[in-house]
Amino acid sequence: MKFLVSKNIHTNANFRLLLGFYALMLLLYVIGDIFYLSHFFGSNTQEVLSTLKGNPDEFIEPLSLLSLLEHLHISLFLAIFALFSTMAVVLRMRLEHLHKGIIITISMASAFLSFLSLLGTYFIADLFVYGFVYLTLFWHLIAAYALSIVLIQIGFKKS
Amino acid sequence: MISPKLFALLLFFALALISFQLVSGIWLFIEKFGLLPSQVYVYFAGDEKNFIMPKSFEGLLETAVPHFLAISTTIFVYAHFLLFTEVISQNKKSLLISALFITAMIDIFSPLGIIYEHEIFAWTKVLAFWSFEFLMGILLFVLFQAVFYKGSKG
Repeated sequence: MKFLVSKNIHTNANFRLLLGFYALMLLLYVIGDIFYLSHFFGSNTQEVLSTLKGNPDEFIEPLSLLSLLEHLHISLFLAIFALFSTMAVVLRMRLEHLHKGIIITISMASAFLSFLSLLGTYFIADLFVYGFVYLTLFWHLIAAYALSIVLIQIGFKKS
Repeated sequence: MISPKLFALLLFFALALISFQLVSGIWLFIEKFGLLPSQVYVYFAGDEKNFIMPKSFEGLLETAVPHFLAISTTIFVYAHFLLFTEVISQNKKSLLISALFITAMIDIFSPLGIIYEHEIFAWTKVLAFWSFEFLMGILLFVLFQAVFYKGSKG
């Protein structure tokens, strides 16, 4: 068996194919995660508050701390690896340094703050729900934007 | 060509996020099992007096199997950055990497011993869990140090 050891993988058509499908599936994850989160927590701030804190009028029990922590632990893990691998690809794209820096900073900082806001909503004040909902939406949008750039650059790059 | 500054920026955020993950893991462990080995034992082996059902083998597998993938991937991804730093010696890197994988495996396997009513495995679980968290803390500290003070070869 022989492996070809080469640093020149950017011009390798199969590497582009691999990266293209990887980016496509990550994009599906990012879009699917939005649907999953809106199903789990609700699709607006009021529904999220009802899920987290309960709503006696609608007979909704508050989410237990254990369920919240399990959700946080799993979602955070998935977000880390989705964002980390996406941004590792973005680093290698033909973009301005500033553009790459903004994508990395905004997406990862907003993901971090969205998870903190979730805890803030549960423990501190209802106001944090806006941070949770909009920052979650924001980091998903930036990740989708970054993955779209990857797909476009791979699609239009000459071999 | 990857800009070292952008790489450091990405690594900084990835380290911040995984630190948060580490904290959520500790919090979840305390909330779910408790702090003491006796509490961990009761959670897995059950307690008839308090109507706590013992955990089944299948139930343990449901938690153990994803953790094998998740923890090994996390250690691999983050610890491989150690290879590009000069913050600690080669021997310490080897020791840290080995200890991380070994403590993680003991932590994941211990509940199997507990459900067959060997109380010593509750102690093993607690020791392995806290050792793993401590070692991950050291790994993240070393990598943060590399990002801020030493830079990296990559």
